[in-house]
Amino acid sequence: MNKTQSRNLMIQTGIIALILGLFLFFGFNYIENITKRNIGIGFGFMNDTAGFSISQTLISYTEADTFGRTFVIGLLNTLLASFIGIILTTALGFIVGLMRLSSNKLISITALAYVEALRNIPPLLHVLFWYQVVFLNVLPPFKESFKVGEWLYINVRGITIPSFIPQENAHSYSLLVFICIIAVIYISVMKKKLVLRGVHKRLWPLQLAFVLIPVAAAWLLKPYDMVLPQITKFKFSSGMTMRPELFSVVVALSTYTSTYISEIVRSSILSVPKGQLEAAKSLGFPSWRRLQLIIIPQALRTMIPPVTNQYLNLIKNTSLGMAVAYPDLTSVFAGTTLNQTGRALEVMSLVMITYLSISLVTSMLMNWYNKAIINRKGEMISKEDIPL
Amino acid sequence: MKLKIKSAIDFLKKEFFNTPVNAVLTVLMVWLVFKLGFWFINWAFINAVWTGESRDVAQAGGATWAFIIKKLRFFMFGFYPREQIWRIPVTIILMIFTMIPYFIKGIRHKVLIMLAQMVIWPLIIMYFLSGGPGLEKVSSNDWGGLTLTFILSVTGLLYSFPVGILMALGRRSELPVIKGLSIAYIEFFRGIPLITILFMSSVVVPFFLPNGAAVDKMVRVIIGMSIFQSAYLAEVIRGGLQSIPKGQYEAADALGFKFGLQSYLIILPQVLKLTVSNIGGISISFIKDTTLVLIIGMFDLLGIVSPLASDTDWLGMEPEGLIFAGILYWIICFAISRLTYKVEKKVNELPETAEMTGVPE
Repeated sequence: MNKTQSRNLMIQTGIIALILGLFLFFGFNYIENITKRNIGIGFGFMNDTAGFSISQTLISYTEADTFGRTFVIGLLNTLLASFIGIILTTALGFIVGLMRLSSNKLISITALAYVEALRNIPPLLHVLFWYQVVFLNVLPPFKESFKVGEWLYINVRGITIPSFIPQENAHSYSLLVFICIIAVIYISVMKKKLVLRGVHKRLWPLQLAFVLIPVAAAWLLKPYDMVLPQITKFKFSSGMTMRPELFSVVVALSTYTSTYISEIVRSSILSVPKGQLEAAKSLGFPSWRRLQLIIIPQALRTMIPPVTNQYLNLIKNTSLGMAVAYPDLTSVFAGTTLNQTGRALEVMSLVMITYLSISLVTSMLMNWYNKAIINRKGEMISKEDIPL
Repeated sequence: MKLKIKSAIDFLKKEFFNTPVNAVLTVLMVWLVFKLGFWFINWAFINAVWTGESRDVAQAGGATWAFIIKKLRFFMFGFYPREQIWRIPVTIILMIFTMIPYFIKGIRHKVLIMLAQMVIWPLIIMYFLSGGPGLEKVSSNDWGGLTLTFILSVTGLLYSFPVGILMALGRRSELPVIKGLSIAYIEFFRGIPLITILFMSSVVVPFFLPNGAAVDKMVRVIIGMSIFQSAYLAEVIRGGLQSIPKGQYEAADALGFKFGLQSYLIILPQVLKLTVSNIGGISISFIKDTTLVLIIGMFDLLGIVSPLASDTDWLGMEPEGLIFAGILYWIICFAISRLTYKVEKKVNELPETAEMTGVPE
């Protein structure tokens, strides 16, 4: 063992010792503090009765349910907001990014103004603005709900739609839906492969059939019982309500994040070599097909990693919903449950680990998608492959 | 004259009405911009009320800027006692004074100035804002408005720098323990929302402190925010480190520079130069993120809107308050992004620290 090696070993042992020391110090303090304040330790509280109500739940929940269930409810609400937000922000970001590249000056300047105006304002302000200024003022009060038939009520408390109660055959029905979705995706993939081999077959009627099967089955077998919203004096006694908090979080975050995504879309489209566009033009592709078939598939490769980052930011930012009392993971679990139980360390660790796992899964999915794009054979030729 | 009109029409035709789709889009855009623009001008200027003592002066379809003008002091200084407000500008001016050495040519090792600031700034803030010998005590709960946003932003950014740089270097270290710890630190704090860190600092950290020891909430929040920001900064700096050519390290090794001096004199100057625009970007994000302290009950520029709008004289003034705060944030962030752009340009004008392009192969 030479001098450097022994020195390195000493440094590392020192660091480990320091960290262990800190851990012990904090650990002893923690135990002393919680015994003094009579707070228990461990996750036993998850089975206790929660006893508080939550304004929006995706699965059934009553005050008699456990704290463990409040965690699941919060998590589902976070995932719901993230999911809708990601879809909306991708669509908006693409539209604004393409608008910025428009040859029509008016359109590109409007898009630039949109980006510059929105992205220099804190996301939390976006959320509060949509909630306090737009939704609470624009939506009609409860007594004067905007109605569509007997089905849909829109008022300041949100959108109320009929709730669906599963019947005995609901499980087999969801299986059918799942199979049909897989089939539709599989046919699209097959079609691309056939086109590459030069076979042009019309496959959309088959896809349409697979879309129609579940619809027909729903009509005939009635796997879900629809319960129309019933108005009692002050609230709906049945039906499912989507709260305005959800809309404000989703709209605010998707417009805010779309400014970043539009910049990514714009720069990655610009990074596609100019020759590609010229070649597509000279082959006579109409302008929309040029974009769809030649430019965007190539731009996607540079787009995916930074867009993934933005998705992760959006997911983390759904925690801002707490400011408008959207019952997400942070608000329900790290807020109310923490206050009720006092188990600060356990609750916060669980919340942080959950966010970490969501981030990790999202980036794994996006990496997988990115690889799937790059490895597609026979479709894309990189610049280096083109013989000069 | 006729010719001019004709050429203008031709220009419009060519630019905005060359295809049917474009024509439709143009008309749609013009309509949208005019409609929104008129509505906004009506609301913000024509129907707006600028003076008044309570919400009774408000006009339908117009803003009540009187609210902002009446409450301007709170937006700027929070609930700081009125007679003591002079201490805030003094603090800020003193903090700015410590920046002067950065701009004096001929002073070397400007890092030392930054390290000095890390000690001096908290002293200035503690003495003048919190109070000390000769000055009345003001609880940090009364700090607020733009002042609080300023203090959180600058101190958070200041402390995140050294930690971020150390973590970025640590992530590239050959020692497995240092490398592993740096990776864990960076990835952990980048993977969780800032709110959870703020919750940790306001709810959990007191449990970890020894009996009887109390650290002010403001200090805990600043530490938490610096930790959060340093993880992002570390990633940006790591990106810069990766783009430094290997030859730079080898040359430094060959000249006998040890790790510390090598990083300080050769690698980091180049890295900072490469990453100016990214550092500017995450600094702007950080300033926007300081708004999150409103969730743990601090009244920064955004957080103060709702207590002010629940004053019985001014109920329901959230729209004006939010828009005013939004405009201030917009100005701050836009100014910093322009500044970053200027700095980046200026840095690239300087003679190359290492003539990378001129080295003969």
